[in-house]
Amino acid sequence: MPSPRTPVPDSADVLVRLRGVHKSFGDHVVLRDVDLDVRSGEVVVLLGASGSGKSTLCRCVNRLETIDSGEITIEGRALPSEGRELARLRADVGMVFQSFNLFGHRSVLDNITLAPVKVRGVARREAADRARELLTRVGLAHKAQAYPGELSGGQQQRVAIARALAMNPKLILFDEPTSALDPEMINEVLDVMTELAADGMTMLVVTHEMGFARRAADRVVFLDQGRILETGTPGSFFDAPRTDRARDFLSKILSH
Amino acid sequence: MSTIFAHGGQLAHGVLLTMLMTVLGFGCALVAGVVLAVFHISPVPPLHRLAVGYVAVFRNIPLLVWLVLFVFGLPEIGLLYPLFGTVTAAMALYWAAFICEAVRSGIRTVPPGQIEAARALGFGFSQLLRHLVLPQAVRSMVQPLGTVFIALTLNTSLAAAVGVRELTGETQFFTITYDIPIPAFAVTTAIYVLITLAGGLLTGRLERKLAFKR
Amino acid sequence: MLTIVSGRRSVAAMLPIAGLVAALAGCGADSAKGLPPAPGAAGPPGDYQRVIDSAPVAPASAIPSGSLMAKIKSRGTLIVGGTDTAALFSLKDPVSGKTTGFDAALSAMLAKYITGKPNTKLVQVTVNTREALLQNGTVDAVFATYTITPERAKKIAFAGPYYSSGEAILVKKGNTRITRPADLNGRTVCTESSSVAADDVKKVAPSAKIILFEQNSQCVQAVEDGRADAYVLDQAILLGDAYRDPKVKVVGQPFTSEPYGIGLPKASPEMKSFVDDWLKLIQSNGTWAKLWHATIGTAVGGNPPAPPAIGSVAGS
Repeated sequence: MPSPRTPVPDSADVLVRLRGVHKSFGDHVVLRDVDLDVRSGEVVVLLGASGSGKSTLCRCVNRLETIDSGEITIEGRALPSEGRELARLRADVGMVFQSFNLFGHRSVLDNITLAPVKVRGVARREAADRARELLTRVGLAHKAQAYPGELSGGQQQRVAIARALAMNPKLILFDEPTSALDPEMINEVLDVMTELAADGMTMLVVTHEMGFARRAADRVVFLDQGRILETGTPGSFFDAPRTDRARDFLSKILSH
Repeated sequence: MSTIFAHGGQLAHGVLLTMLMTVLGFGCALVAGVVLAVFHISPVPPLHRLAVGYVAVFRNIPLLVWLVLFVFGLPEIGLLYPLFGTVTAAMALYWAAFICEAVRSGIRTVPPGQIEAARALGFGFSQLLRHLVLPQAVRSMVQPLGTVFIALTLNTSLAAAVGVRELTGETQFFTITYDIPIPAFAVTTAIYVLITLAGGLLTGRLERKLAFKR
Repeated sequence: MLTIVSGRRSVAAMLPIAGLVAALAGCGADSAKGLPPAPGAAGPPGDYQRVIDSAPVAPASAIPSGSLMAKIKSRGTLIVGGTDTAALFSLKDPVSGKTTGFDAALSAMLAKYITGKPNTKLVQVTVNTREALLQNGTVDAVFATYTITPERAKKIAFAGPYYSSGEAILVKKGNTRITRPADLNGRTVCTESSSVAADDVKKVAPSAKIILFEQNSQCVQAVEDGRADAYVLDQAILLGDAYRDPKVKVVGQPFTSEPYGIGLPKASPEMKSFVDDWLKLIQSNGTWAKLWHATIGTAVGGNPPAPPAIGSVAGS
């Protein structure tokens, strides 16, 4: 178990800032007037029932989803709309998906080196050395030459995290990283994430793992029907939720 | 039969033209078809519309009509090119539409999640195509492309209708002189089957070679 | 000689093309030659039909029981192998749907001679299928500008010759370099893919480059476009083309002799002598000359040639 986190000071730079973000799919409003700051080095966990808009919020940060109105800035700069600028920004924002999304036709090592080599122009050898280092860190050094199809879900997700880390991102978005895993594999992924958090990585995490939120998050944000209802430290949120919706949500999640 | 073998040179010339037309036609159609497919899925609306329109126009008009239109229509507007080139170009343009669709069907087999992951890693559209989409799509394209190849090979025989003395044209020519249509076309049939079988075999080998572990 | 490979497909293909080509060229005038007027249309209306109406009917004694003629008579229809895309000889009018021409009229007249009514059923044939369809009994007779050759006469029987034609040369109007067959050497020469003309060109001009097109109209256009230097085919057809299209002309005299015969099954020898007798009858009673006037004569003009003597050609 890593040591408990030292809290991120309020004075730390704001890395991601959302102001008045609004988004709907047709008639269905998924995000309403969302304001959120993620500071450098901070671990923010988004909680909420399914359909509350937390995944969409996460995907808006690197513009995999566009927003209807409002503003999202990263390091003070507005998200570029399309093209090269957007690609450059995405290279700096890692993302880990629910369904791993490893490249099926490439080995584990190639999955990790592809983006550094093709997008960043890092030398192949250098990228491979770094990839091996990252694989060791997620406990999969022996799987470098394996193909994604030969790995378990937990192993694939750890490779996906290594793939995101290989780009030296300023921030990593986790979109329900353990929801597609068999229960016995959830912890191996959460352990890697907890270590990352302890190492000071800035993380925005959508998850249903309350244990992880309590132990690793600096801040918990609770969404309901596309609106942020509560935000606070894990301790205050889990022990003394202020709203009925949050109490209701927690009672359902924690009762079993 | 002996008459046919005695004049094998004449037929061989036809076979040569058929193969040349097949290889050139398929080669050009492949390049044009891939470009069209890329246009089709590209985020640039005019390119997308161009590809959609192209496929609709070329795929929905019979090849024979295109051939006649190219051979007899283009000279009417002052564009007179050698017969073989004109016919091969018409073939390539026609089959490019089918190759575009085969390539697109291959692209659709690439899981969208992987494309999203690559975009999240900062891949641009062309990098996405080159490193992720096309290499994975190619495997599921091999069979449909093989089918197009066989169709193209067999349909080169339509060139005979507009004056090209490829295999079928040469056989017709031969038949006029020696009046043995059934044996002559039997030999021709065997040659077509050989060419298409070779294409099928190649397709199978290619598919096995491109297989990867999932 | 003039049969066209798979006429049905070509016609179906040409219809949209005529419009598209016209659209491409920006004018409708040129497309008119794609569908030449039906032969007979130029002559006084009714002439063509009158020739058929006045054609003779065989006496019952001429049709012994058990003969092919008796079989046709009891059926009431003559099954004819032919085509409907040969101008002047057998061409279908896309508007009226009627197939007319020298061959078409002869087949109707033979049907009338046997059954009393000019009822025929047309089965499309190509140069590749004519003999086989006669041999297996699919058709009773083939009327298809069918040149009598000893080679073909080994497989089937020929009545006739009923018309004597020959290959001629058509060039662009301004062309003065091609005036005789030997001038075709080194030139690009087109002809119809089902015609023996290709073979004849090879004999008179061995270094000519030969292109085969499916249709008469395509050959004429190839000459006009400059894709081919000359077009070689039966003189009667070429004269018809030059008559309709002022941009081309026919040069010299026919350089081959093409005796057309009526293809008949070899298994029914009684049919051949019966048809030969009928041909002699319509030649001597003036029907043949009247038919020439109503069909080929409309494009060529002048007086009809003397009909060929029946049985005068090797293979007939």
